[in-house]
Amino acid sequence: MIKVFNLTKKYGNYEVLKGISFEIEKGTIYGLLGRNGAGKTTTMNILTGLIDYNRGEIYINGKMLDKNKRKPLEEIGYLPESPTFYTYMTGSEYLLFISKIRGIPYKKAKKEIDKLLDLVKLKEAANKKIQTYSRGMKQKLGLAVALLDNPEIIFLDEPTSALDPESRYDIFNQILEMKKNGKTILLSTHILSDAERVCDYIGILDKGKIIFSGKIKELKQKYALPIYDIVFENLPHNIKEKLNNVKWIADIKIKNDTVSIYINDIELAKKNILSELSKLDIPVISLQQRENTLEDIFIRLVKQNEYI
Amino acid sequence: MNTFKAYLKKEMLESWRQYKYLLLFIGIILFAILDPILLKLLPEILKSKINGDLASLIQIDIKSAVQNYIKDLNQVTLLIVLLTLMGSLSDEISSQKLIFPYSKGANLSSIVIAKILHYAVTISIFIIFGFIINYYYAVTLFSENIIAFKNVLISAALISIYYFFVIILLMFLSSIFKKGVLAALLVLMLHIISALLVNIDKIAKFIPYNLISLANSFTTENILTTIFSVLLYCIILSLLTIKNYKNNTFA
Ligand SMILES: Nc1ncnc2c1ncn2[C@@H]1O[C@H](COP(=O)(O)OP(=O)(O)OP(=O)(O)O)[C@@H](O)[C@H]1O
Ligand SMILES: [Mg+2]
Repeated sequence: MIKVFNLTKKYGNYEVLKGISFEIEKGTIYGLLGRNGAGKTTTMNILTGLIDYNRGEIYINGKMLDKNKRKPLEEIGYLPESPTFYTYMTGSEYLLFISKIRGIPYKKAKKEIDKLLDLVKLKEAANKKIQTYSRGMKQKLGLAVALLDNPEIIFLDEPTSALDPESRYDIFNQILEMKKNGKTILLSTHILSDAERVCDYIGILDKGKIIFSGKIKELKQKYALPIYDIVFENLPHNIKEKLNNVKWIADIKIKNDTVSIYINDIELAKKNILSELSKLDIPVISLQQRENTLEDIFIRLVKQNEYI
Repeated sequence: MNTFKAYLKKEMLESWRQYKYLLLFIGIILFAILDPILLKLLPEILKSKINGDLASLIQIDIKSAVQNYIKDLNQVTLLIVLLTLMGSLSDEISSQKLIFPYSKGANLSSIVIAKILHYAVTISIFIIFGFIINYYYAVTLFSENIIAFKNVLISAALISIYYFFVIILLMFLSSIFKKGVLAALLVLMLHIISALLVNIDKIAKFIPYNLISLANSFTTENILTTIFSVLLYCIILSLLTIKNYKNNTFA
């Protein structure tokens, strides 16, 4: 449905995207992750035809997106990160205004708007002016606008950043519902557990490159190395130095009386952890293996990228 | 066409809710009523302050009453119109208000055209009414030096065309500088400069400001050259505005 190949974007001399490539299949949800300023919004703006790009190729629904001719795409919905409206209109007036642009007949538009307001739970505020809306309400209205006229491809830039937990839950259920109806969705987020909840595939954008693109499961298998938490009878000093040149240890962190050993080779670690500990010759109270969270993986991946 | 209709309605709603119609009404129609009344009262006021003879020197007739309105239209009214409209286009370019309409397929040219036409028609209607009201009061309050109603209407049309030009110029400059205040200041400067340039006979008829001079003199001689030149400028500037608008909106 969406194919991005070697996409490059510069703002002046500053290269934000340094040749990124990824692909999104029809009927799937792709999550774009990355820290502030990584280029998520820039990528969305390019894919929606709002801004141009410098090099690369983009295919949306089989059609190539011309890099010089910015042109609105026909069948998309886009929820930008901070949606802005004509705030002197009411929520339903705004939706009607957008329906007019799309040429939807009045009666049909009315019906659809009703449905959408219901879906984002904005019925009560529908006849209030948008200038009185809270940030979360604006985000909900923005989602309704994006979904208007049943687009095939939906771009959501941090769709839940302003929402309370309940609304967040609702919106994610809606997003999953859309997927069931065969929609293709690209969403960006900082919140990894959100991505884990809804995305089929994720891409991690860092320093202008995609450093991982694939299924969350693959990411976990590939990078989710367990951590050993060890409690000693009395905390050994200079344990860091002592374990410094053990090949399979990536990092050691000490918090209270727990020593956490981060590893980089699961097989070696499993074989050698006990012998290494016994070499220390200090009484051990407990040894536990802990799963890495997606959060840890993300931070580690992005950190690794720092040294490259 | 869908975009054009949607935006025409949007401009109307915006002007209504943000009191732009009210401001334009005050700027254009109020002076049409106030001017002749003040002119009528002026000699009376002066009479009580200074001795009789001086006051009778200020002779006000129908023609000069209308001319006084024209003077206001190209001074105070122009300021009010610029202040009212200056944010209109630049606001839309710099804030991200266009993302939704655009991503839902809105046509940028139609947006610009809807905006220009909406204000041009609104202001023309106000100006024509202004002249009619002004003429009515002028004829009622004064007696000498009558001018034909037809001529007053022609003046109204000429001033309307001038305002059409001013609106497009303002939109054009907003599309370049993205700052409404700057665009409005530049329009004002050009207005003042061209008021001077129009005194040079050779080029006068190609200068938009000449429309005001023509309106002021109630002549119909040689007005076509000026009208056509101004309309030509309007078309060129509109096309350039659309081009700038497309290039600058999201970049
Ligand atoms: N119009 C612009 N002109 C110049 N630089 C820009 C412009 N827009 C974005 N940038 C730069 O491009 C980089 C990427 O910005 P972008 O908004 O895409 O990041 P993001 O991943 O969406 O961040 P966030 O998580 O904070 O939303 C940033 O360093 C930003 O400063
Ligand atoms: Mg962003």
